[in-house]
Amino acid sequence: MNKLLQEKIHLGQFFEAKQLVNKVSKENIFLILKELVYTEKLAVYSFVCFLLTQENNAVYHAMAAHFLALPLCAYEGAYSLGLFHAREAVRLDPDDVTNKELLLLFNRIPEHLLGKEEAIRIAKEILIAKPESYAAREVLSDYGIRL
Amino acid sequence: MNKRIRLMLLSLCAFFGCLVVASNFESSLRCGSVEEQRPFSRPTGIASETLWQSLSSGPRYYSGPPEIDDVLGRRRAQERAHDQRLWEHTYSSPNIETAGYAQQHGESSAQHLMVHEPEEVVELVKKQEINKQYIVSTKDQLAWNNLAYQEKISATMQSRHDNLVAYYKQYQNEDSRAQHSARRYDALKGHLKAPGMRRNQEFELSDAVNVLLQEHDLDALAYESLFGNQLQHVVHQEFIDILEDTAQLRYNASKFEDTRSITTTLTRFVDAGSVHNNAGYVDKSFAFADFCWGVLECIESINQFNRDFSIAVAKGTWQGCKNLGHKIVHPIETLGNMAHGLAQLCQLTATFFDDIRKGQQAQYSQNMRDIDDLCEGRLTLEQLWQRDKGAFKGKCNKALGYAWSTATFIGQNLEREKILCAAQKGSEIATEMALTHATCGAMGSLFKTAGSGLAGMIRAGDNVPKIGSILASADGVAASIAVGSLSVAQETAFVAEAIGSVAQGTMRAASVFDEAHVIVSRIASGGGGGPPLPPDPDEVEKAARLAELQKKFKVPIEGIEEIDPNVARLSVHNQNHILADHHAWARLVKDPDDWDAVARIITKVMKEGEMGPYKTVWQKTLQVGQEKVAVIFDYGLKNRIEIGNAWVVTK
Repeated sequence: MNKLLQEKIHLGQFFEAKQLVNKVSKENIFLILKELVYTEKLAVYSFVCFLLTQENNAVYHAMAAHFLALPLCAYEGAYSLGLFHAREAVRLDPDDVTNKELLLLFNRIPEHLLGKEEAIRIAKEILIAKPESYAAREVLSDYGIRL
Repeated sequence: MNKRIRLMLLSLCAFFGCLVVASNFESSLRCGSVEEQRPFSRPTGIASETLWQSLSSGPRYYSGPPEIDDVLGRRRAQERAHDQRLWEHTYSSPNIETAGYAQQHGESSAQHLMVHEPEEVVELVKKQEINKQYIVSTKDQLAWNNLAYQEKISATMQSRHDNLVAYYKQYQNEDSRAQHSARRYDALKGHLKAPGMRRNQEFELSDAVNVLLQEHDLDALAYESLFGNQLQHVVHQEFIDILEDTAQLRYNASKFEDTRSITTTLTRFVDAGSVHNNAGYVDKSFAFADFCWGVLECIESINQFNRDFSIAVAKGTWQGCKNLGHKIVHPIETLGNMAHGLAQLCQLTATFFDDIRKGQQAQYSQNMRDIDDLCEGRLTLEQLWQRDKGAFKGKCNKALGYAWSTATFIGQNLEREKILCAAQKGSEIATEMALTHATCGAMGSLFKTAGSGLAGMIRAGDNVPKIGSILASADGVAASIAVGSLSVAQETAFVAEAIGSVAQGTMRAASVFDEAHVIVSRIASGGGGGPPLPPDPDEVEKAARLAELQKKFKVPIEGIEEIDPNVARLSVHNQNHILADHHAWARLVKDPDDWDAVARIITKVMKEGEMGPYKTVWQKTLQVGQEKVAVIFDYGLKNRIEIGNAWVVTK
């Protein structure tokens, strides 16, 4: 299926591509697209955006944020877009602390798009639900806040 | 008349009929009584020949795998039943000599053999000649009620006993070690009579030895003649004998596969010992020779085990050790265990490096920490059991291997040229220094740095008995290993002595390390202080390359020799993104646009950094100099690492 999906995305046939992934869970869609994004780059991100137009949910936003923060980060403005998607993921599913961890990444990057105060607040929220969180602990530790 | 005649005939018939019946009846009674009185009616249901053959040829005193034990148990039950009958008959026999024989020996033939004869002799029962003799004598026992037979059997028993003792003595005389000791003693006596006498002696090398030497890049000419005293000649001949045995072991495809890996170690030991011998360090060369003999005898013992108890070995290393552990009643068998341990050690070491190669750095570190803690006493066996039941045995086993690694690593990494050079200079310190250098280099490959390697060596040397006792309390299986190691250390004189020599050598090497280090520093600074070692061109080139690389960085950074392929294949687009000014590479690199320098730092972070997730994005961070460097990455197609970004952390 991956090759066919890659072909559909490559040709911009997003409706057909969506037909292919309809039977797959959202988590598995992420795993499939993660393998394609290193070759198809922006096309895969565009396909995720298309999926978001069809169904606005936290999983797709987190997926988009991931792609923009890693494989597509070299493009100008990618981190800003990624931050938007990460915020949306948190807004749509506030109970999922992993989305907040992803949000914290935008504080770690050299651009520091997420401010210090907001990062500390989010990190503390994460620690309440997930005390062992590596991301939250690192952020607080780097800002000299004792746990 | 006719009636009378008919009646008479009938009477006659009846009479003869009765006679026949009576005769048959008597015959049947006689047969029955004979059957009942037969003294050696063997147990029914088992072929007697097979039983006795197996009793005489099988591993009668071997306690091995359950299935073998079961078979032996059944056989022993049969043997006991038979002995009981023999016993009863012996005492019920009216013959005085028979009763005397029984009283004199106190038990049956089989029991007599088990109790009174030396175990070495019992082992030799397996020999085919003895088997035949045994079977013949057992057959003869069937006619026990015949006095001549009784005398014959008595004589046979005595004869067999004498034969066995003779075999034992012959075996003792053929013991190569005893012969070598005798030769050494004679040579020493000769040397003391004429201490200054030195001459050149030629030695003959077989084709197999020549091939072996060639395979290890060693010069055969160095072994073909030796100018020295009588003692040096003797030990040189021993080294050639060891090489011969090693070559046989290597090229005759030993059944015990692990032994092949030990042959390299043996050859290195011989080479190192020979260099010491040439330089006049005869005592040291004896230590090397002793170790080699010990290992060779271990392997021979293991091979013997394999031949006899292939089932046990087929059950795998651990099970094999378990079974062998029961057999620790004799030095040869204890040596067998030791050889097994050495072979296991090679496997374990390979496993360690395999773990690293597979990138299981975290798991490896945890394992090493546990093993370290176990050796140091910071972790009790119970704690380890609670924490990691699955890997409990493996870690205990690795701890043992860890402790024994000292000896093996020395053996595998002695560098001939360095020792030869140092030895030729005639300086003992230089020799030790070279040895230390080789040792630390070898240990360094396990412990990463020479410093920790040295500590590890000392720790390993100290903890052999400790680990043995720890393992002894673990369980039956580990106990077998522990008993084996303790036996080697405490009871098995020659191998323990050899291992001890190596351990002492290691410790001595450790103790002179500081001194050697000072000397090396002085040599490096041109201050003299000892014979200089010839520079290794590869080392010099490597050092020059590293020095050139270091110029790229503002602070000295170790571990920058290579660039990770996952870093190297980053596109120019990504490289430019990573080299952006706000990534602050200028804090670490003299030229922040130098991708080669930055790539080396990223490689170092990927190799040594602490890893953690930001949901699906992985990050590795590492303190490099005063700065913290972060790299984010993910696992792409086929789990390939895909690096996204890297920067020097700023707040």
